[in-house]
Amino acid sequence: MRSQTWWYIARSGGIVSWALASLAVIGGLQLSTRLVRRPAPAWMLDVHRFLGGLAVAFLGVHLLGLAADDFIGFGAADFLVPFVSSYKPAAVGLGVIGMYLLLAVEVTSLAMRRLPRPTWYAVHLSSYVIFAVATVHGLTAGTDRHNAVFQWACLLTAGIVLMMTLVRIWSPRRAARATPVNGSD
Amino acid sequence: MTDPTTDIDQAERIRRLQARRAASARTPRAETSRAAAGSATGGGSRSTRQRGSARPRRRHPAAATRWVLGGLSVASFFTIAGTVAVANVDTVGTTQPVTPASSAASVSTPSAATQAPTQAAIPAAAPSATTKATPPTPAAQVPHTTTRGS
Repeated sequence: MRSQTWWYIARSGGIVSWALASLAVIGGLQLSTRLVRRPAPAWMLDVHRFLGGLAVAFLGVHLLGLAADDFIGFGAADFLVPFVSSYKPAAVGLGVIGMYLLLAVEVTSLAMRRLPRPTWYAVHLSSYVIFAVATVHGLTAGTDRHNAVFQWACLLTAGIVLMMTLVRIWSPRRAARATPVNGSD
Repeated sequence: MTDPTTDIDQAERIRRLQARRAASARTPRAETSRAAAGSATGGGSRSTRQRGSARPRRRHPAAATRWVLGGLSVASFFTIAGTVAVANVDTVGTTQPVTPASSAASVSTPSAATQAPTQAAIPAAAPSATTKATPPTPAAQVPHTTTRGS
């Protein structure tokens, strides 16, 4: 295998993982806001879960590529401990934090029925942090940060997420959902 | 004053509802045992046949979409990797103007001798997008270059 192949795999895996995680966030916001009426909630939930799983899978590809690449020379500490990397410690540290958060969200979602709902929800809210951290990580640590297509994709995705988040915050459904439903008896 | 016929109707409706619930609760088990015994009579609907399998599984609502999304993700992965690889070869080709003709093979397996012009072409003080990593570079290694930075 060529010396740079692992580096290409790492870059490509990171970009695809970011895109899938962003789509999962947008799907989750669509589930909670019902901004677009057409996709059925069950279908959307299934796609949302699958996108999260795929994002984790391609995060594994990203890490595998970085571990196998002998140029940048990442060790276990660089992968596991934030801000200790010799290569752009701040940018790489954000990626490490995003990795932990993404794994936490995925694990708690898989164990959702065994967890108290407030706990699951609190962890799930960190998806916003994951999106922000992963985007900044890609724009600062990534080799493709000067790529115009990638920059526009980041801008567009951030705009969509921001707009849907504002709709989510101001949505009247939130107050309606918080109201407890009492039985007639 | 309550109408006695209304009470009777309500009691009858409750009785029918309970009977219907009991019947629907019994149905899957009965169908499962029938399917296990191999005594499917035919003429049942598709959903009935699916419910009659030994281990009923819930079908994912977006099963087909999952396949599409998985395929698109893998295709995107290879497309991006291939694009950066091809563009990197082009970049290396343009940043090695003084390389000898025999350096075509050195793109894949570069040596320290062919690396010197490449590194000289990249200003070290102003790292651009074409350099993957500046710092811990042993002399015998090649800097990864990217696609569209320059």
